[in-house]
Amino acid sequence: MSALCYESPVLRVGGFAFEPGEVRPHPGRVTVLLGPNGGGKTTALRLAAGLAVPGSGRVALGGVAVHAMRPPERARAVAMVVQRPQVSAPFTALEVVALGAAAAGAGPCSAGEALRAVGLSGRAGVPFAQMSGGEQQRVAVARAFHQHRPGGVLLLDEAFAAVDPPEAASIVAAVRIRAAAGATVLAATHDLALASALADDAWFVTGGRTAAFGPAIDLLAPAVLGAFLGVKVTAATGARGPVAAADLADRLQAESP
Amino acid sequence: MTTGRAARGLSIALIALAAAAAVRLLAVRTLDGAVELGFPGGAIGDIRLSCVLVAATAGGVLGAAGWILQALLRNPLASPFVLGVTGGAGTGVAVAAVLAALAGAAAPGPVAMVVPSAIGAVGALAAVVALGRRNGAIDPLSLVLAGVIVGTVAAGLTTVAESLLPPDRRGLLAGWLFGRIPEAPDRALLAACAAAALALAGAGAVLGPRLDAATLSDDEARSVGINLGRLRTSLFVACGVATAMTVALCGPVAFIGLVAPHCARGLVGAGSRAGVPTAAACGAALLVAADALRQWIDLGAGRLPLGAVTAVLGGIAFLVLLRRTAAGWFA
Amino acid sequence: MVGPARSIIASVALAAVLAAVLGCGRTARTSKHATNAGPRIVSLSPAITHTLEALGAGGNVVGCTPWCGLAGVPTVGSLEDRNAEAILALHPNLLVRQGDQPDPALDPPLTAAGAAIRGWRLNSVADVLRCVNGLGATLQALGAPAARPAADRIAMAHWDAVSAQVQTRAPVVFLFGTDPAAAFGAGTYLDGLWTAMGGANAVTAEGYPTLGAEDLLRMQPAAVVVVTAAPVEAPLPPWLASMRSVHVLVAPELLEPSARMLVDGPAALRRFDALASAGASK
Repeated sequence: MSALCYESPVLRVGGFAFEPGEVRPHPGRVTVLLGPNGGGKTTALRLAAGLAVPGSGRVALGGVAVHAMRPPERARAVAMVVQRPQVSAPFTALEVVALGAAAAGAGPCSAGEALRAVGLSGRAGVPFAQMSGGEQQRVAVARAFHQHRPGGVLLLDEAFAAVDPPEAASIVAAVRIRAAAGATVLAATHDLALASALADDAWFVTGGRTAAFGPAIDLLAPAVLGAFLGVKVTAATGARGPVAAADLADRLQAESP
Repeated sequence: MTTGRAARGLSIALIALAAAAAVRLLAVRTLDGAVELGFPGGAIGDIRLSCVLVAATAGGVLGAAGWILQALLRNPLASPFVLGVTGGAGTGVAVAAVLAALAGAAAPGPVAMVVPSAIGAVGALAAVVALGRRNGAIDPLSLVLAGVIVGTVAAGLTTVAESLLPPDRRGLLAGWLFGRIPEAPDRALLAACAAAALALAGAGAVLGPRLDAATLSDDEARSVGINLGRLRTSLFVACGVATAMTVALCGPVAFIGLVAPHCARGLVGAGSRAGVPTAAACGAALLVAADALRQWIDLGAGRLPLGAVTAVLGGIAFLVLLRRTAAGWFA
Repeated sequence: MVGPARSIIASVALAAVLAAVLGCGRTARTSKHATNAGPRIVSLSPAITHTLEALGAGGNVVGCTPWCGLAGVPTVGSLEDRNAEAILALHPNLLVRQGDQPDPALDPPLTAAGAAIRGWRLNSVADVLRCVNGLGATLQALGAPAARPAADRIAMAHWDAVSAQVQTRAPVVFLFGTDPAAAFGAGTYLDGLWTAMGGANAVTAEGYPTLGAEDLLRMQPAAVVVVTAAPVEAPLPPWLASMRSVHVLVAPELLEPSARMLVDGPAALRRFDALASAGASK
């Protein structure tokens, strides 16, 4: 189990500076990244994937800087689901999932099993270009599952944005299984209910800085979450604990003429 | 896409190549309208064999390079000529013709055109690769734009050179621009092109999965473990050099590099491991077939230029293929 | 109001000065070439220029193409990209070119300025003879009386030259390009010369067809003659060199539909005929 560690990386892009400080997501636990748009959630994930190179400091995996690893080696250690998957050749869903093994070789989960895990085993032969946005996102998740090795890092960037709740639930279950097997999971999302279902830890990022990092039980409490996001948060009681939801009624009332 | 389908598709392409070669070797319609069948032997037989070899080699390079470029540039309309190679070669040939005319020497024949066209082609390729960079690494969109710019400038220079040619020599350049199968090819160049065709097909087979992953967005391809910068640079240069050699051998033959990959995709699917060799085979079959067809058409002015046949047939074939496969490309 | 007005006047004055300077230059150039009285000819065809020289009117050419080979005569472009302004500035009274297509941009102003325009197709021997005779008559009308008898002399020399028959009667192929093989077909001027001298052209297609190597080999002509303007350093393609009887004929007079072709062409063909019947092959 290699530990992922943000060792004060600093990344400047245009006028934006991302300086999260020292952050250590825990292996075997799912860390949910929350925060406003443009606050740095995607940047945090891209740094962990080696897609962006910090100007100073580094993101290390098992003591080795991620951006310095050879690409196939890095792909074996880190699997990522990007926000907008794109495929420019007429591949089928199964072929797109198989691309996860293009350089790194396959992980223990085969392409077929990965599609099953995201609920698309019946659509393996459908051209990717003809699938709905939600289905395409699930194929991208399946590709990450196919690429992932036990104990590796799994990065999910808004991977559930277009996915219906029943399918989202099965993906959450699949992610939890991998976390339980030792994976370090970082998931960025806007969906508070999903965050509550998924998170063991929470990482608040805003303005390129870490606002808070800690157990979900503390940070996803309505008062704390609401203060961070700037809206009123209510919590229903779910099977695993409180399920947060943003209550926009107050806001809407305040802003209506 | 199973290995069975791949083997079947590649076999079909190779059988098509063999059939086209058979027609080219065994059947022709003479200029007085008679049909001649059978292999003639002697000098005519040697010429036919040579033409089949040249067409298969050139078609193979163009097909393989076309597939690789369509994958790397993420564009089903890309072809080997998008790298500015043809434009540069044309400029090289035009400048050589002008220099020969100014020096009072005879007009350069196809063998003498080889070196100038190769120099022009490689020069244009270097310019395109140098200009097609963003933040230091080759970027597909920048590369296509650079190709258009270099191609346009080269075309302008070619026109300037053309205007300096005496009227009786202008037809030679126009003839070169259509492409032709030389009946007495430079042996060394032919061998080099054959090696290039095999090398590209082999590279495609070995790098197949990485080439497929390169059709994802940049971030996704990198996250899957592809070294995009190295893959792009090495394959663009390889395709460019191979295309330059083919253009030096046959001139710019239109459409083969564009249509052959689509034929191959119809046979073996979108995977590059089987796709690149199959595209090479399809390109070879198409060009040999075009040359065979030329031996049957007689419009009263002798044999048609090869480029005219490939352009017309290739255009029709491309329309048919695009309609059939469009569903898989676009949502 | 004062500022813009002043700059407008300044620009107009500057333009007037420039026009005067340039105009001076141009008048100087035209007056330098108005040496001969009589015809002032602009030629857009090197072949016709050479015919004019044969008719004794070379000194009357005031404008020609870059390939006419006349030293000191300003060039006005060629048939496809002629410089209409330059042509009009030379004040010609005769424009000659190849082909009978009118030129809608150039013809009206020339005709309005009183110039005659003549165009001839130059494909066959008959075409070239018509051109020679037509030029003779036109030049005579424009004040060069010696042109008419010169034209008659050219025609007679031509008939004289083709009267003696050649010995090579079997079909021959005449090429002006080797790779691809470009041949003189039926109805071309070289075909006309050769058949008038009793020979036969193996290529029955009209015009200048492109032949494949295979087509040429299948024809099995008695001889293949490659007509070139200058001695060729590059070797012939191997399939051509291997044919039964291949000759390289250095004869620039055969590569141009001019008076020179009419008069000297048959002699060049006879040179080949002598070699062919002697059994030698180069």
